[in-house]
Amino acid sequence: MNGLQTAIIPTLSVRNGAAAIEFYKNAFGAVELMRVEDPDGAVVAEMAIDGARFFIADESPEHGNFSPETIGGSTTRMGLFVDDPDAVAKRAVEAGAIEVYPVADQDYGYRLGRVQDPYGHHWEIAKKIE
Amino acid sequence: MEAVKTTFAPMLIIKDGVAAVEFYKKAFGAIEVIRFSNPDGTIHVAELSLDGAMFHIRQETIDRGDFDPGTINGKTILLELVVEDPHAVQARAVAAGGKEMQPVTDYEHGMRQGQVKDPFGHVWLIEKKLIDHSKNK
Repeated sequence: MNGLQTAIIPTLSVRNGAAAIEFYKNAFGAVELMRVEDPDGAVVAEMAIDGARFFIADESPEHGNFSPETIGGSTTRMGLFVDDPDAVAKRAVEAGAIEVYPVADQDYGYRLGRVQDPYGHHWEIAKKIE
Repeated sequence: MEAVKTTFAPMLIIKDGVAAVEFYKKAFGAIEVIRFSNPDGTIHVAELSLDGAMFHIRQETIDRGDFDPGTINGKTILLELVVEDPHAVQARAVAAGGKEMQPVTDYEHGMRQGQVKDPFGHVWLIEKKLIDHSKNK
């Protein structure tokens, strides 16, 4: 039997999950695979960027799941490894992300740039170049 | 040249990176790929590989908005770890010092899933799909 390929799938806590879903579609070309909506409008959605799966969930502070906007920062950055970091970062900025620093060859062997999305999550968009 | 496959590699913010690297090695069998240390020996950034799945840990820098989960008593990103054998992976993580939040359970929606909070406050859902809904469409 072939073993399952080990993978790490992040779930991003956000405020206004429904809007965030649309942003990630525009910014990263994400596709929505599944969405569950609570009666109060809170959503959990499964999405994928070019096959890499992730989830979006409205924050639930009572469970210790905070939006970066709520705490003024984050506990994990989204590393996203792609074939063309320049193009991916450019599209994200055009969709409304803020460039923290531009994509450039870093001395640690990555071509990498960083953007902050409108929900406060930081994305390091990278490719190994060594 | 073959195109790079798009993948996530989360970067976990942690106060005590040296202890974290040791924990992730013991708990998940992670391999340390590279480490960038500060002059005082603390970890600036380390790259780890978990059975081929890449992640990084980075030192907490509060004034830049990079928080250890302990600092804010919560987290902004949950980590799901998809593995072949959630029972074995969760048992090993708990034996290494992770706190079991939910035992590994088979849920009706087709997921086998457990939950462990690591000693640094990051929460891992350790899981495997038992039913592939995408194949039923």
